[in-house]
Amino acid sequence: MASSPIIFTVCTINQLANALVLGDSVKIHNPDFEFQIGLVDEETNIPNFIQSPYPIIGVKSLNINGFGGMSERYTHEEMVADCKPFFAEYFLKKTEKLLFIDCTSVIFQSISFIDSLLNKSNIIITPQLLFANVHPDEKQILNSGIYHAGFIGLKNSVETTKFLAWWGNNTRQKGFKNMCKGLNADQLWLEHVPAMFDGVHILKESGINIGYWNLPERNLNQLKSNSKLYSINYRDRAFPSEYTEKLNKHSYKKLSKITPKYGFEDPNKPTFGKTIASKIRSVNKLVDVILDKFIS
Amino acid sequence: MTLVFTLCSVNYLAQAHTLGDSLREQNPDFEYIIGLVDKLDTKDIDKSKLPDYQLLEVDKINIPDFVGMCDRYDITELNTAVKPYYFDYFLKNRPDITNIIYFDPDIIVFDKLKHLTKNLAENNIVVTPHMTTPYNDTKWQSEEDIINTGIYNFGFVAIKRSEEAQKMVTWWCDKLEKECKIDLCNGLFVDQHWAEFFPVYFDKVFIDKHLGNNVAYWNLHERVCSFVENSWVINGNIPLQFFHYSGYLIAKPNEVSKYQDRISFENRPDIIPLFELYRNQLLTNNELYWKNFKCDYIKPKKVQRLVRVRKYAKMPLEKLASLIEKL
Repeated sequence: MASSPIIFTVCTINQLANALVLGDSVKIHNPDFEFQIGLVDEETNIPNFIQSPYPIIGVKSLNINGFGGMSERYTHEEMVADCKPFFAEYFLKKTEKLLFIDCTSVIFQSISFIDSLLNKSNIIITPQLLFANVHPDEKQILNSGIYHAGFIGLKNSVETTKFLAWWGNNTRQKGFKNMCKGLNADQLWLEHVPAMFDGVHILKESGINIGYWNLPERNLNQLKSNSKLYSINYRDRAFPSEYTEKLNKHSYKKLSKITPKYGFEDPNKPTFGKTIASKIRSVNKLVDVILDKFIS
Repeated sequence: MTLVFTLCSVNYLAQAHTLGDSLREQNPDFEYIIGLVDKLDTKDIDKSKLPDYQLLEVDKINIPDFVGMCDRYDITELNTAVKPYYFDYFLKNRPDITNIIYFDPDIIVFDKLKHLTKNLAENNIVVTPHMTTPYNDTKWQSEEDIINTGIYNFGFVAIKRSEEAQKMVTWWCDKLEKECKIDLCNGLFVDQHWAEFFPVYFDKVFIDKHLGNNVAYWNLHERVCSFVENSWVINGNIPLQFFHYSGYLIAKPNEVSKYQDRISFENRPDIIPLFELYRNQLLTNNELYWKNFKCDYIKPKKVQRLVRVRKYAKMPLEKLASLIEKL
């Protein structure tokens, strides 16, 4: 078994440039960690102009039980999230300590402290928010998940094996994104983790996994000047120019046009028309307000 | 000193009475207060039936925007929204009290709560999860139902007087003033779902997985009850601390709870005596008398008038919206 911990990410081919940028940042700051990519597609579909310096493992080699059904039920985005527990199981066969980082992330300095935290815990999960009363709408976070699935540490242990089997079973069957039903692909299942498993560490480190959801409560400049900035996750926000530059070096523009092989296009994806329509409908709500006033 | 309180309206006084009796028996050194989300003097009450415990009406604890809350919330929401305000009131007005424990009125305490007081000595806040092992079935409630409404059951929460607990209570009050709704699509489920933040926002929050705590339909899949040497135990040797009869109705004595279909008296004969005991105590404590009182804070249901006018007034913009949506 490899002695060095593995950092892995999971992505589709259209996100491969992101994964490579993450891998480059790991290589610079954490040469003591191995970096590997789980691909929710087939390796043979990767265009020839991509030469990855990091091992890429295609999802087929995991032989996920019920994979065909998942691909029929889930969107592309759900597929990537819902395959995560299975990739984690796969990599834990090769290492004692494993860290998952979202492919849209970049690390800025060594995160070796995770390695020592895993000596004392089985599972590390990362809250979306850390400070009460700062985020302008905390209920959004309640809805999508107190813990963010973009940064998870795992130690090879009986408890972790139990956790991954349970998590995978849920993402296989109920990996939909439907917040009205308490479902958010792989992420909302993490709510149960501190109650259901032993040795769970809740990582309260404000320089880890900074994303649009916690920007209101994190001071980037302060973190930088205190050397406490560890990782930023650019998921679902406009990429800043320095990140885009790095992506472009890995043919981001060409890769991002490739349709993922598994799952389907999200029919509820916000389009320009839908956004305008919902704005028009919100104007219509004024009718009720005015009529209610008029009646009373 | 430890103070225990519960919250209910007059129609639930038999339950609150029963909880008080169980505390008096097992933990006579605890003070017990029934927080009443209701008014007493508006009702024609047979005073001799009132339980022999302190009653503290909600309009006496100085909730800043109580009028607004009454207006915004239905009766379930209001009953739960005042919980942190009672904690806040006790923290500020009872300096002699160190530990404050909240129990739902439909709970019976079965043991001296030494385990809990020890945990409070070492922590600021104690919460109990609904379950500590997966269900592995497809019954109701499911694991995602629990996620939607809250991992920790807020029929119980305990705090120790500390800066951190006061911080928690202040934040929780702030949230519940306006966002103690049942609105699952927007992440809201009364006071309980907000508790998900406790272990993340605050220090020394203990997630107490003791299997004798808060035993109820949501965790009976992992807990077998038996009566051994004059006391109730879980899984053979863990002393039952408190049982939560959530969703049990005297009028439907054959149903464990109206909120689930996993546990029944047929498949779980071990719990039958626990429910018989509860039913008898409720009847002794005048459940049939109290249950008919109507709470002063129930508001009439809003009826939307002019439904047709609304529909036609909205039509032009709605047509436009559905056209644009398809672009």
